[in-house]
Amino acid sequence: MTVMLSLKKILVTLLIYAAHGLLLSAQADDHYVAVMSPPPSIHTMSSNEARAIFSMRVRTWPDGSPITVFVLPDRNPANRKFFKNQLMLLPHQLKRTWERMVYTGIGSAPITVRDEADMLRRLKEVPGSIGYLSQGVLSDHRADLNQIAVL
Amino acid sequence: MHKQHRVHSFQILLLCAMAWLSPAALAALDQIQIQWHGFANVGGYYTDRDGYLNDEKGTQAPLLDIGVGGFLPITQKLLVSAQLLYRQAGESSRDDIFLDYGFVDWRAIESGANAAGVRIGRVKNIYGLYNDVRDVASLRPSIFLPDAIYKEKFRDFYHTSDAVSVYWYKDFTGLALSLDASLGKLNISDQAARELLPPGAPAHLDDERSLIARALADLLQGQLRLAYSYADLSYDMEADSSRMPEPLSGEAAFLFQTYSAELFVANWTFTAEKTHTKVSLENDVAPEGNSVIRPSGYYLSAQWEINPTWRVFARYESFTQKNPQTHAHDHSQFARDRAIGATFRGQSNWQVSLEYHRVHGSAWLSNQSEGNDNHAPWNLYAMQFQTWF
Repeated sequence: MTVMLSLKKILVTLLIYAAHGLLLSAQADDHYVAVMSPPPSIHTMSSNEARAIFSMRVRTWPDGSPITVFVLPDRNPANRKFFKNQLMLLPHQLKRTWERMVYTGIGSAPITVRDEADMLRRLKEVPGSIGYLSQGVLSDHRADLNQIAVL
Repeated sequence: MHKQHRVHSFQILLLCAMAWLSPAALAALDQIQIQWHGFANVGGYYTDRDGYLNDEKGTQAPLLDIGVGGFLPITQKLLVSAQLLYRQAGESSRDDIFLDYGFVDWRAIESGANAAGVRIGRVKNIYGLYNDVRDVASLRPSIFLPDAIYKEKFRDFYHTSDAVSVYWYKDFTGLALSLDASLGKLNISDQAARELLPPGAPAHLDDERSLIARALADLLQGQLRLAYSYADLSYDMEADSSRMPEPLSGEAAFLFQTYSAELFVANWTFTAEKTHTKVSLENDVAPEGNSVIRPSGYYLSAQWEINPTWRVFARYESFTQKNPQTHAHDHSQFARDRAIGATFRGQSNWQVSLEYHRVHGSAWLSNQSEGNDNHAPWNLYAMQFQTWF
């Protein structure tokens, strides 16, 4: 009886740990990070630089090659997660910046893709492009794309 | 004849630049794509006073803006941009298709979070928070911008210039700074010129000059915007007839200074702008007619984005211009405007807006109107369907 109770405790404990691990894994999958398609090969950038790129104020990488920026559709919840956590900007602030540039003729808006699968495909197709993906989606494609740590 | 029918040196420069660039653009056509954009705002307004953007009584008029433009990157540092515009806004608008802006942009510096460059051609004057985007429904806070700062009847006085314009931007930690400045020649439409001259005066404007600059700071990761704008505008007035009973030849100079603040908190936007103006009028023939007047105005507004579909706003504006002889408020030279409005956004690229203004004073009314001595408060209703791509 005592052995059975101990086994039961162990099993419950293991179940709790497994559930916690799944939860963490889900949160990690839900965490969006900046991703770029080399060349150039960049792995870190300052938050100022990241904001300038996603605000479409800066158009070229340090080597002079063009930056192509991909974003998810307007009301996609991933936008809030990425823009707020990584760039410390709200989606509507960026949208206003893009629209101001377009309608005053001083710049262009980023390219809107359909969803994360489309984001992944477009990033791989266009060297020098930048976007954002969840960790879960990125994990199987690290050989082709660089995760950028925004400092 | 008014200068809008003459070809200006800046337009010649722009045409030459575009002609020079055309072979390069054609040669690289496979690699370069024009990025198009456009917008259409269709609606109307009604007032129970004559003179708002119109000389006639019981004004009701269409409000129509249609714009189509393109952006063509030639190289990573060079781009060409232009937009055509058609507007109808009572009698204050040109009612024809015209070049709203058209310029060549050379990005001289770009590194990290830092950029600077030059634009040459017809540029939007970047002044206050909204002058350069006043035609874009998704970017302006209401159908009619605050008249205390962005006088609708003077829109075509300072909206664009044929100019050389410089810009600079730098993103620091927690702060982004930008500076825009332009030096050139104002594009004053016939309609705006009428508002700048005494009623019925047979005279025209010439040698319009502009120096406009704005410094803008984005703090708290863009939650707080502060701006200072400066504009030095002047033109000569030339009488059309030497038999004028009152000589009109002379010069007018306007010095505007506007202080702007905008705060974004959750789904709220709080905006305040205040402008001080110095208007100097010099008469060549009768210097005793010289005068300096100092109008000033401000507004406070609150906008609430209830959800992605609904947005509402409330605004209070005040404008005052004292009589230079008596230093009193003549009724034609002040206004208190209380406005409320709502916007319904259907999809990401269209919306419908409604607004109501209750106005005391007649400073918003046309100088050419006969109703400026009516002291009764008046009402303004406006509605507009707005779409863009």
